[in-house]
Amino acid sequence: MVTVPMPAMSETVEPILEDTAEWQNRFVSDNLRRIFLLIYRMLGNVADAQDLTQEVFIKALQRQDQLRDAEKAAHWLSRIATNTAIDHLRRHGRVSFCEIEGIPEPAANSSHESPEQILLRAERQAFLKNGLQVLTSRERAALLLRDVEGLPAEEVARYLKCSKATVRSHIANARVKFRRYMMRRKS
Amino acid sequence: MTHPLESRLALYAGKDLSLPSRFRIALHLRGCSRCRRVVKEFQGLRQLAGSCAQELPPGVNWDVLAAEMKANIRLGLAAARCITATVVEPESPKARWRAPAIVLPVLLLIVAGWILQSLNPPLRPAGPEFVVEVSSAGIGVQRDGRGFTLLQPHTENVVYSVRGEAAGARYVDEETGQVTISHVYAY
Repeated sequence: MVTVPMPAMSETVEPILEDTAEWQNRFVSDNLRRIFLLIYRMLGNVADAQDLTQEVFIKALQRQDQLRDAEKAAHWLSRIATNTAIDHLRRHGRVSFCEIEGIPEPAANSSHESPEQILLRAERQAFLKNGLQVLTSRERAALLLRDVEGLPAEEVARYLKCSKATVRSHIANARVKFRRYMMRRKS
Repeated sequence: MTHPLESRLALYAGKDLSLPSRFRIALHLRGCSRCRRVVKEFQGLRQLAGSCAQELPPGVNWDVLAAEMKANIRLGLAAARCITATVVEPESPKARWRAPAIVLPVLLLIVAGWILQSLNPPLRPAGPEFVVEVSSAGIGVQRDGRGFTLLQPHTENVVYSVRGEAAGARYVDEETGQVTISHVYAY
């Protein structure tokens, strides 16, 4: 009796799996920071942002056959991230604060900054974080997508599933509230 | 002087207004230092938000966080693959009854048709055929050598017609103008 060896099968399957894994790794690496920061700005909490970022990527990669176009995939990912963050805020109330115990250890990559620079950066971050907290979740999403992600108002409207006029109203309210917050802070 | 609303200035700062509205506000800004200052503040805030939003939250070691998230994403995808591989959709009771539900009525219909066919005798008895013939005397019907003839009184003026298993005679009385039509059917 002749036994037929199986390497022919593994030879055909493995490259496909390797390609897929490689593609997934690249896709995650290319978009991870952007999506994490987008969600973090909306939630104001590192731990929640980490959880939701992972959730968003798992959701997206389960439908990776729709993600072959890199530019479309990036937009789609932002949209999933925005909606996931808004849903999270709806379920768990407004922006939560990061617990002292939950703050990760000082960043290794910030060692090249002087103490003054670190302080300034932290101040700017706190300013942005507190400023975003005075906004509603939809205002925050609209402001971040328009002013930070640089998306046109039409695209933001599609992300938030509302009209362009509503988005403009959200953006205007957000900027006005943000400015008033800054004025209060100055005074 | 009437100043534009603060929300309009906020939208103007981000180029989110329609062209005519932008033109009107630009005209106003030429002569109004107060509104120019407000617009500048909005523009500054947009820049600040854009630059701050790209920075990581203070104290976050991105390399560690990214590695952790990537590992969790891989784990999540593997878990999702396991679940979809093991969970086989059970056949619903509805689907199990669908084929018999279609076949059974058809079978019943066929059986009922066959029964009805066997119960009702055919309309025409089997046996020798009737023969219809037209002669100078009239219309005759014969079967098995026996038959009858419908005699016509004035044979010279009669018009005969034969169609399939029926024959007809048409006669017009010269004196009265009365028309007599006779039909003989061989059933």
